[in-house]
Amino acid sequence: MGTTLIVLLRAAIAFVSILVVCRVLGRTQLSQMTFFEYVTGITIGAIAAGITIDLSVRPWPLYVGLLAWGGLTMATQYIALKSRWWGKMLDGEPVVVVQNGELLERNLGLVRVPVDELTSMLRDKGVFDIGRVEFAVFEPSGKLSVLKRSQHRPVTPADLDLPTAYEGMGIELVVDGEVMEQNLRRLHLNRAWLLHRLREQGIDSPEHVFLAVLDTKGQVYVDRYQDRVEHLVDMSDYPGPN
Amino acid sequence: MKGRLLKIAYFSVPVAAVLLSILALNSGPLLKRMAGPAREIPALITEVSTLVAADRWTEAMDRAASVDQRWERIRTWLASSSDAQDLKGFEVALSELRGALEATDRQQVKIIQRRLTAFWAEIGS
Repeated sequence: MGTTLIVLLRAAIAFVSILVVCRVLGRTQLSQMTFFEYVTGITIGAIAAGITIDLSVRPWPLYVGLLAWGGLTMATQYIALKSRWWGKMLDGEPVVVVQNGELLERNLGLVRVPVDELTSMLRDKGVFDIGRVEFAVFEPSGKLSVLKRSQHRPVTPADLDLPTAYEGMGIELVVDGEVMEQNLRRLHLNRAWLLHRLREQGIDSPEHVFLAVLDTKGQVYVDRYQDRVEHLVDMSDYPGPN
Repeated sequence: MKGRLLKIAYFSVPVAAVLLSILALNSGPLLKRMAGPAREIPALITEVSTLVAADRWTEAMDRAASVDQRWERIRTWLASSSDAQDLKGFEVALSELRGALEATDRQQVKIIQRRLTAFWAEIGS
């Protein structure tokens, strides 16, 4: 019982602390992770695991290690932001691996990516013929950016000189039955206006709404808790748990 | 006003969480310094040794039992901030102390008293 309590207490401490450290470090840990950030993430995770279950050592030095790794990572992120040279040192630089349909073997060697892996990454981007690539750039995050030759890119309204309307982004008015008062205020609207728009759709209270979004054309999209789909499509072909 | 409070909470809650974690992980030394069962343990260990030197074995056994009781009350709290080996070492030494008292072995009591004091200094530090 004693050990269970200790592990629970330490888990709570490690959980809260790692949550704070990750929030402070920002989103780069998830999205544009470089190899350095990947290693940092693993190390911080390993230290947090140590705090939780390694009862053979005092947790305080591990906790100092966790804060130190968090602090050092934040410092290097800050330095990389302020100094371009340091940024390149820490995160590396993008490397062109295909130019005008030509594979650049020397650069491929620099990023140590075998040609099979490159062709696989190109296929993942919808490119099955290297000759159609104008540029392929290996990013520091390990992702491949591909610019197809202009004759192989999809036609856009701009290519055809077609006028297009501004679309913008929808703004949430109700989320999970709760009215987003702050968003209404930003739009110079009020609750009475919202209730009126909901009533137009046969809804008498926001509590029945799972999501309501106002688009830039003034249309309100509403999703109710009670779905009105008569025949739900079941994709499952397996009766057990997913 | 509510927005301002939420903004303050946005920054103060994580800071408070980290400060509380630091406090919890250092609760061992704090607990040892504060008044209460933890603070009485080293004095009781010394008292056991003194009573044994004066051949007052029954009283020494009572004091050893008091150490046991106090230890049980604070063990979990100390464990959250201490090395498990130090805790185990202290508990084994406590058992040895009971054995040495039952055997009325003065020399062993003295050795174990030193060991208990050393472990006590290590716990949570």
